[in-house]
Amino acid sequence: MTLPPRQPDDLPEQLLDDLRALHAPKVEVPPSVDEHILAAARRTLPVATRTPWFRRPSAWGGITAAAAAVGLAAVAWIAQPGVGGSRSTTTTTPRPFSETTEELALADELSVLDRLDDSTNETREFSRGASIAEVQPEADMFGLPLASRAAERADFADAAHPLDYDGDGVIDILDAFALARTIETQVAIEPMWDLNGDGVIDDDDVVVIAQAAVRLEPREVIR
Amino acid sequence: MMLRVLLTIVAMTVTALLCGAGERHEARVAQEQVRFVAYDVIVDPVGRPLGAYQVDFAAARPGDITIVGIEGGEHPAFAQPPFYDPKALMNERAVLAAFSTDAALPEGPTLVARVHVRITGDAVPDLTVALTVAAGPGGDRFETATVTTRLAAPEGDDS
Repeated sequence: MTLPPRQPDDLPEQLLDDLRALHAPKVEVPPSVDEHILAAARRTLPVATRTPWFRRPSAWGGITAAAAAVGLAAVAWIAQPGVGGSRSTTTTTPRPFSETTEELALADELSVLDRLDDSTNETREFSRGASIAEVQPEADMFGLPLASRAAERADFADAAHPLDYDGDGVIDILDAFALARTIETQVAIEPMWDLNGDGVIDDDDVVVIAQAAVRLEPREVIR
Repeated sequence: MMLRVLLTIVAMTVTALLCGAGERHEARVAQEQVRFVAYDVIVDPVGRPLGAYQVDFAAARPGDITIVGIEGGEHPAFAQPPFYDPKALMNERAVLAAFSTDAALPEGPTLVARVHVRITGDAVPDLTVALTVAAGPGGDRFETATVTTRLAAPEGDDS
C-alpha cells in the first residue's frame, strides 16, 4: 500500500513560512553600509592591542621559575665532587703526623730536639750546620762511591752537641747505632744520654738521635 | 606560557648536567696521568757485613715525584722501615737511615728500603740517591760502599 502525496496545504504553517523565506530573494548589503557600521564600531569600542610579554604578570612567574632552576642547577653543580669549594681529590693525603702512638712518640722526640735547639747558642749552630749534604744530581747518580759524598757533608761547629754520641762532629745514624750498641752491652752510660728525660737510657733515646739524623731542614720541605 | 617555562628549566638543567659531565671527564683524564711506582734502594757494602746506612733519596728536578710511602727492605736485619722524617712524605726528598745489631747481616748488595712515589705525567723521573754513611757492625765506616736504586717490580712479579 502506498500513501497519497501530501499537499502543501497539509504542512504546518511554521514550516511553510520557513520554506518561503528560504526561497525568497536575498537582500544584498551595500559595502558603504558595512563601512559605516565598522566605522561606528571603531569609534565606540576600545582599541584591542597586544600587551608585550614582559608586561604580563604571568611572564614574571616564568622568569622567576627559570631563575630558580638556574640557581638549583648551579648549586647542584658546585656541590658535586671535584668542583668548587667542596673539592675532594682522589689523592690519599697522609694522616697528620701525630695521629698514631708511634708518631706521637716521634713528635715527642722531635720536641726534645726543638728544646735542645732552643737551649743554647751552640745548639743553634748545630741546628744550622748538621744538615745532610745537598744532593747534587750530576755527581750522585746511581752507584757513586761513598768517598765522594764524605767531603760534602757539612759538619757542625760544636762537637760536644748532646746528640753527637760518637763525637765525630756529625749527627748521623752512626751516633744512634753507637748508643744502641752501648745499651746492648749493658755498661754504665752517662745520664746525659737520657735524651727524652724519662729516667731510663734505652731504645727511645736511640730513636731521638736517629730522628735527628734523618731530619729534613725546614727549607727543604715543600709544604 | 607554561610550556615556555618548562622548556627553559629543561634547557638550564641539561646545560648544568653537561657542564658537570665535562668536569668529571677532565678529572678522570687527570687521574689517569697520575701513577704510583716504587723504587728499591740497594746498598752494597762490598763484601763486608752492613750494620748501618744512611741514604739521601731525592728527585733531581723539583716536582718530578712525591714520596707517598717508605717501607723496609728484604734482609731480616733491615726489614723494618728505616728512620725518616715524616715531613718527607708528600715531598720529593727523604733521608733514610737504619742500623741493625743482629748477628746476621747482609754482605752483598741488599735491598734496604723501598720508596713509593707518585708521578704526575708520563715523564720518567730523574732520581738521585746518595750514600751518606755506611758502616759495619762495629760502627766502622765503609768508604767504598755504594747505593743504587731501581724501579721495583710490580706486586706479585717475582721475576
